[in-house]
Amino acid sequence: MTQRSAPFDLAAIRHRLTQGGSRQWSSVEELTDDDEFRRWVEAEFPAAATILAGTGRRTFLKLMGASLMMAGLAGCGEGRSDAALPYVNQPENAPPGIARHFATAVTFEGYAQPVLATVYNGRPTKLDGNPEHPAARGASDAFMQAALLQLYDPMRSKTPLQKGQPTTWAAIESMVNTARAQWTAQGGMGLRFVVGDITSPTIIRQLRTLISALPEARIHRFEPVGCANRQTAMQLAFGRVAEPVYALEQCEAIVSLDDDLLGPGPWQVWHAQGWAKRRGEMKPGEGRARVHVAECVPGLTGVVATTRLAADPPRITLLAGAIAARLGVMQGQSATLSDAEHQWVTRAAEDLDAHRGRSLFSVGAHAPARVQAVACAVNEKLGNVGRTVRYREPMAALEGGSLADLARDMQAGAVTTVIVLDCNPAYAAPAELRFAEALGRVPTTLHAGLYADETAAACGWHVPLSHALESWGDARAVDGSATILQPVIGRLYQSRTVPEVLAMLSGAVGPDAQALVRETWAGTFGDDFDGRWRQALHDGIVQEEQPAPLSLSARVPDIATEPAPAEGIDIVFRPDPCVWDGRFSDVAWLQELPKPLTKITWDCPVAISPQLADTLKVGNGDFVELAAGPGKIAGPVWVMPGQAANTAAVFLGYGRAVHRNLSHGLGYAASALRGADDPWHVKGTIRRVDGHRSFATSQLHHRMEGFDFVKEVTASRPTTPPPKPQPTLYPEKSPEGYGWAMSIDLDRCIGCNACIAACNIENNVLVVGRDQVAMGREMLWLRVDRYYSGDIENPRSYFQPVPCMHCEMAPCEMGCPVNATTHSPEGLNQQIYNRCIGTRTCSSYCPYKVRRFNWFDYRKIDPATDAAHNPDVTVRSRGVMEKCTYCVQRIEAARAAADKENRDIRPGEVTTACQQACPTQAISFGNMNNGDEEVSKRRRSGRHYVLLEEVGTRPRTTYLARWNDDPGGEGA
Amino acid sequence: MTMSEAPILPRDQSLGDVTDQLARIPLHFPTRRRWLIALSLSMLLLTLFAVSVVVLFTRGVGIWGLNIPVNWAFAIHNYVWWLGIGHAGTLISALLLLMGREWRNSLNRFAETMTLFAVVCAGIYPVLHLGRPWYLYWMFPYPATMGVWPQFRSPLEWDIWAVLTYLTVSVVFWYVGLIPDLGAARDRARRRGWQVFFGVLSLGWRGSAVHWLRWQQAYRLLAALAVPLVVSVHSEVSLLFAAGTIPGWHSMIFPAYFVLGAAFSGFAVVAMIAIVIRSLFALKNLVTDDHLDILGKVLLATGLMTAYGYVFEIFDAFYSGEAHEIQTVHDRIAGAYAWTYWGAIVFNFVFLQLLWWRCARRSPLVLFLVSTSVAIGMWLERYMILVTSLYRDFLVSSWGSYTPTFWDWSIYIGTFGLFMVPFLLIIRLFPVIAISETKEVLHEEQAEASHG
Repeated sequence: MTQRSAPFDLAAIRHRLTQGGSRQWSSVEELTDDDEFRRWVEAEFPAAATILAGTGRRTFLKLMGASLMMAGLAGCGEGRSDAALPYVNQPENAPPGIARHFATAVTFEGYAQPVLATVYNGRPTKLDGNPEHPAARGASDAFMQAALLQLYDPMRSKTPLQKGQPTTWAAIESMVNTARAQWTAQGGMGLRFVVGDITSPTIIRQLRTLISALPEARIHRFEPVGCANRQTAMQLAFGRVAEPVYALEQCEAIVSLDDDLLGPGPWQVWHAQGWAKRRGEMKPGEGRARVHVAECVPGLTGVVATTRLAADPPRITLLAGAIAARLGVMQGQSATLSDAEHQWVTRAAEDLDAHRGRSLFSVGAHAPARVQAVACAVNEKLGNVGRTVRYREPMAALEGGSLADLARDMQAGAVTTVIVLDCNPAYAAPAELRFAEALGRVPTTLHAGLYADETAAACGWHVPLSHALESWGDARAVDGSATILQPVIGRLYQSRTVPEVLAMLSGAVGPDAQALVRETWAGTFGDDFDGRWRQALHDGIVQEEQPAPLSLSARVPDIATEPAPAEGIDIVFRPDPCVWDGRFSDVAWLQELPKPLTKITWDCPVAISPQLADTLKVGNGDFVELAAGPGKIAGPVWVMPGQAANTAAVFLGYGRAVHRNLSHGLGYAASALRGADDPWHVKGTIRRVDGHRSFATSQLHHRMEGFDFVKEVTASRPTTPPPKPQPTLYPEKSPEGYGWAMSIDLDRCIGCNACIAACNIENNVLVVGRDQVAMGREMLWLRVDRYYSGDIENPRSYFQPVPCMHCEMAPCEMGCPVNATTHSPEGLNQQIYNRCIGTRTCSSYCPYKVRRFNWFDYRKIDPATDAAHNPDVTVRSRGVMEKCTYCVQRIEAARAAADKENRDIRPGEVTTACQQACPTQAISFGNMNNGDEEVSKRRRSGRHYVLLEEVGTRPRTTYLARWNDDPGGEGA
Repeated sequence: MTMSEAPILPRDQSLGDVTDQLARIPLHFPTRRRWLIALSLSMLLLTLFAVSVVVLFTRGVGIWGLNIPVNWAFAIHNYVWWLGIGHAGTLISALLLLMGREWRNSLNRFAETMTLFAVVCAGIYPVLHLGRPWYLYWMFPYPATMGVWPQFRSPLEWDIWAVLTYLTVSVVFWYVGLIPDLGAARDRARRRGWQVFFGVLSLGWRGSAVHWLRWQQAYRLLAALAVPLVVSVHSEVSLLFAAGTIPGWHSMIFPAYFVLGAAFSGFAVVAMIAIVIRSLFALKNLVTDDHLDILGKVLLATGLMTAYGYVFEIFDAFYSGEAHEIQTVHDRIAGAYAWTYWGAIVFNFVFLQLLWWRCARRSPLVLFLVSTSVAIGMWLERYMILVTSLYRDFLVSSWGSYTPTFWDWSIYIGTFGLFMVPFLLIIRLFPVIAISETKEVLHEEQAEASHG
């Protein structure tokens, strides 16, 4: 940048400025308007890609971070200026520094995640669940939170590519025009589309129109996780496709066979809210919300379960049969159940039977279809259908073939054009399909995606897609309601939306993204189109008639009642809880988010049971090789307490092959072992191989070591021990004014990480990278501690979110020599970054170790851009301590609002980011000096307790003990 | 006034010879070659220190192995260690002066010198250890425009005052004690340069009775000022830990425990230096075996007192019944850093037991080895107190570990350069043993003998 010596002519610049009117400029070089500068700007991003191809990831991040400051310039292409400078003429209703909120949605496996985007001066800085949307009610999950950072991800694809080289949209369009002539001539013969699960009415409409115009063209659906297996099951049970929707808030007893209802995925918020509602209404002795889980890989549902059984995949089938038999759905019961299994089945079946119409029997979407079909029959028999479970037409309604069909056709040479829309089969497809190789045989291949990923590399052409936050579009949420996506930021790069790409394919010139969506809804909205359109945009939900639930009758398929001969180990596949199937693997924040049960960051393990680890003589980080058929993968082991004995779990989403991307070099690619027929389970072998890789984990010790950090109450002992008086030499403060306090209900915490993700984004918490996490320097202000107790083969697990305790007698405050951490009259333990000199005394003295230190200038490592940062929160520099502030910026915003109206801050007016995100409302925050507030009620609860009460710190963050429904393993 | 009936200095030497012998050392430096080798090695270490500090200031404290929970380690424990060593100087000079223990007169000069530079080494650590060292001045109560003051409740704030006070008093005390000797050296200097150097520094000392009277008053007054510092500085340093709530730190025994430990390590280093200097400059007539004997006894006594602290720490934890305190004791004895605990026990107390024997105390080699072992042992002890308390504090979830990096070590080893270079320069430029005070002892002994 500095070596360019553009002639600096002040007079010329003045002249240009007076002529340009309100034009914004970003540097004096721009104003000199020399060709050299223009060339440099044009070259900026394509050039960076090639230069950086050979550099390390860390360097790359650094450089990209810096270069992204220039993103505004690079985005100037379409006659707009994104330079972040003050307006010359202030537009009305857009005062700088005042946030505006827009209801829209981001998509996850095709489902809309309804969001309310906080936008400052045209740039979104925070997403939260849309409070008015029934599928979010203000809550969110980690993926929804991180969608924002995917928007700003410097790894995103920025320009169209032809054979990996930057090209223009004009070139793409001319290619498409040529190809379309051929398609039309042949009626679409040889034209194939590959799509993920799509709920968008616009995309479905466009694709159907295309197919009707080109009847020989085919659509192939491929979602690496998705619900394809569940559709097969529904087909088996009902003879037609259907999508079950659970109402966990109605369920007093849930029996889950390997179905992680509360685990990550598009349904997490929906299920977690329902479960928490039931759980919250539970009182001892009545209205139970009991969960019985049998699972092969520990999941979040297993953590909160009343009883939990570790069962290998073949046993899941037997357990389903046994429960069905006990409830009279099936004949014959296997005699091969072990005592523990038998006991579990008895209790589960009894609970289901006792709560007919208020119970749910669910089987995981990756379990064999027959087993899932049995669950449908059981629920029908129990009278649960229509009450705790209803069936509807699948939201991802597009009919199409499988990826295996396509691979076969490609190998046979029957395919001339493949258009891959927003999915990445070259990476994620089961290796036995040899998809990427087959793709190479197809003459014309076009990939449209957010990233120039493996599929882009295997395709002749690639076009960058716009992020949902940059797009006009629509999608349906898990509850079936539609949301119209509206852009909350101008496009950062030369990208287009999927509807625009489809319009281009059908020959439209210069398609208008908004018009395409409007066209879809024209029929629904009818005469009052503008009014209803505006209402839908405002609300973030389209008010329309929901179709009645399907009324279906289930057939009972035969399932095995005797175990198949055991041979080798069971290898099961699971989506990674933080990067899912790899679609989020370049989002650094999600990489650094500790995985809920292992606390591993930036990596994926092969999770094996303690028994298997003992047999193989391996410990955490030792390499094992898994082999199934021709496929082999090697990965480091994580010994997972509570995993089924003969099961090894491999996780999707890692082993990415795009060299210049962040995710390159992390983990293994699970697709090598996946089968096309059963992508979720395979029999295979495991052996120890040389090699060791230490995991970067945010928590090293998971046993509680005899302490009771997480307390439990039971029906027989429903309160925690009363607090002991804490003498102090300091004068007692009288409770006046506001007294901010937080209460965390451990009974509701499902460890989903939504709070951490929300906190990170709200508070500009920086990413520090794998090496720093491995050294114990992660920056999370809020961590979710995870503990085990009991038997390692089936332990009881606990989650405990730990933010700053905001101690009234804070040891940190007396340690700081420069008054950089002080106590506010309202009880906040404040950290004053610009006063901090970094003695770290506060952290040394902190009994909870919630403080985080900027060991280096992490701003140089973090790939997120300044644009993503919350302008109300300082981005901390090197040498400064930081920690949870109770979102003090939100408190102050509420205070300013209250002062303007000359009133007090209302109860519930201040929500912290973690509280807002939590799908189970485990976190409550407010003024404890007001006895009517939720937080005060919780502090008076019998379950209330203080973490490390004996230290005498008098924290403002306190906990509600967890209910143990089943003390001592016997039914209570 | 002598400590024992037996004279500590051989009486068969004249007062003039002593002056000649000691003032000769700077004027006609006897071991030029060995000194140059020592200085070059020290300069190398100093360079290592300088390079490390530049890297540290450029990149940040992240170059060390610190993390959360172990966010204090080498910087703080080396600070405590160096400061402890710096204690013997004042203890020997001031406390023993006031108590009339005149055997200290042969040792006090280099003990004080050692103190000065040990305190410098210690004092630089808190600066290096800051996240933003350029804001060090915020620790001082200067009239800031924002009206912000330091936080006077913080042990770190007391620390900076304690160390600076200690350094100031040590410098003044050392210099005042040096004045008569500077006069003597000036009078014996032949070359113009030396005459001017010593002439200016001796502040016009003429050795008149009034001068001696004033000097005696000033010297004893300063000694009286310095004595409380011996106790206060290291008590204060211990509060750096004791004021926190962390198990293993939060203990009432810490001030006494730290002061005794400091004296222990300080005497060990004084013994080491005494042995080296007396052999290097052939001063066996002035730093006698009796001196070594006394140093050995003091070492043994302070060592046993420190050992008492160890015993009581464990008793304390179990007596309190605090689960976390007991956990910390277990971690120390059998945890990942048990080697620091047992290392401290072995190096501090096992070899020390040799000093029960008189012949061992009087053997320069044995005393030197035992002293070295104590210096190592006390270093391990400081490491142990810091790291074993922090790496496993209250919440199991935040337990971590600590491994020093190259830069941790390079700065620590570099501080030896920071210590040795000025120390070597001082023994090159100034009389290494207090001439006037040694002669005072000798004179008294001779007078006693003639009367006796």
